[in-house]
Amino acid sequence: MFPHERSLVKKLEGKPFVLLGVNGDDDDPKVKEKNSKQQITWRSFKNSRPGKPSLADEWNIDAWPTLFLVDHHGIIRNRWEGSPGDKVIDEAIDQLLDEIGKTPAK
Amino acid sequence: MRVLFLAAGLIMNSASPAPSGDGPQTTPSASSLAAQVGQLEKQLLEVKKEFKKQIQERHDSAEMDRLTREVTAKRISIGKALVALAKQNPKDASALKALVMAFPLLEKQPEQHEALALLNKHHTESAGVGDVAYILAFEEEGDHVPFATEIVKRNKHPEDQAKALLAIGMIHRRRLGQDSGTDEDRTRSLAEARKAFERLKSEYANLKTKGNRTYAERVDILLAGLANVANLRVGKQAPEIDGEDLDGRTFKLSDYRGKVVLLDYWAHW
Repeated sequence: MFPHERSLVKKLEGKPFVLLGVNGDDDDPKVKEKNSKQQITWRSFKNSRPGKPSLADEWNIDAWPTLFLVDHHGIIRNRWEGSPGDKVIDEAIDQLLDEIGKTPAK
Repeated sequence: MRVLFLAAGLIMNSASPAPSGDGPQTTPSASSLAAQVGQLEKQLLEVKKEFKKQIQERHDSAEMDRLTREVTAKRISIGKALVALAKQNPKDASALKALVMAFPLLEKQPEQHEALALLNKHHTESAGVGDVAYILAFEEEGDHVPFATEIVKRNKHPEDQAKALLAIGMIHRRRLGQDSGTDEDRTRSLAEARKAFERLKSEYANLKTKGNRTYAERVDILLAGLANVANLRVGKQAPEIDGEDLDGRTFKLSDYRGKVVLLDYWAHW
């Protein structure tokens, strides 16, 4: 996954697209070190939140990775458990980017 | 590409369950069966370790696909060998262990059905079989509610009953989030999931899950999550996320409205 994500972020720089993570390495103090080693530059929510259910619990995540593609109106347009493959993701994103020109954000 | 890590491993810490059967089995064939199962278990650990090491290194997608195919083939071959061993003496405790180990390795293989049939026939009362019901809860193929229901009914071990009940709730929860199915299906799934979780809470409240929480605590979280499931489907407004990034700065999912967002639940492990 990581190589594809790195190339996605680079390829879509300047486009109305953002890759956001929810990071499940809750108890790992080395997560930031690992991120810089793997060149993970995109922003992630911490999965666990003090005093609240974790995001994975709140979003009923059964498998890691799980990916959601959300359009510019905030509507979930795809949900994948496990990566469906780079090509499928790329095409789905391109299609939603095309839609932005046609239907402006509310 | 297969799902790399099921939540089963994360929540229950049961990535490699090693249940023991009911009572000792000491026939010579049983001890040799145990030894052979033990050897395959070691092989599997090696395969996992090697794969983990390989994916830590940087690879492009093609290389990752090749590694994944390779590890899948190895897992399948170990899984098949485990089922073949279990068939020699399916009632034996080592057979149970072999079948439990084999099951998640045999995705979409005919041997997976054989493993399940043997478990169903010989082991719904065995200690440790609750782990299988839980793993099954995350399988896309087949209806695994009847198997889990049998365990809840027939198994005498509270741990197994509770895990099977949790599995039943998880299966219904999963159906609830699926994009196929009618609103009526979803209403029914929601009711069934809630029923299983409520029963878990009332009958097994103080029992500990492997994550060292009580079932009461675990179920409260699951019940809270249920309220959200129907909104997590394709075509629905994504629920708000209000959280912190890894540097401790708070932000929201809706901060990015107007952009296409790929939201990725990921981890290094």
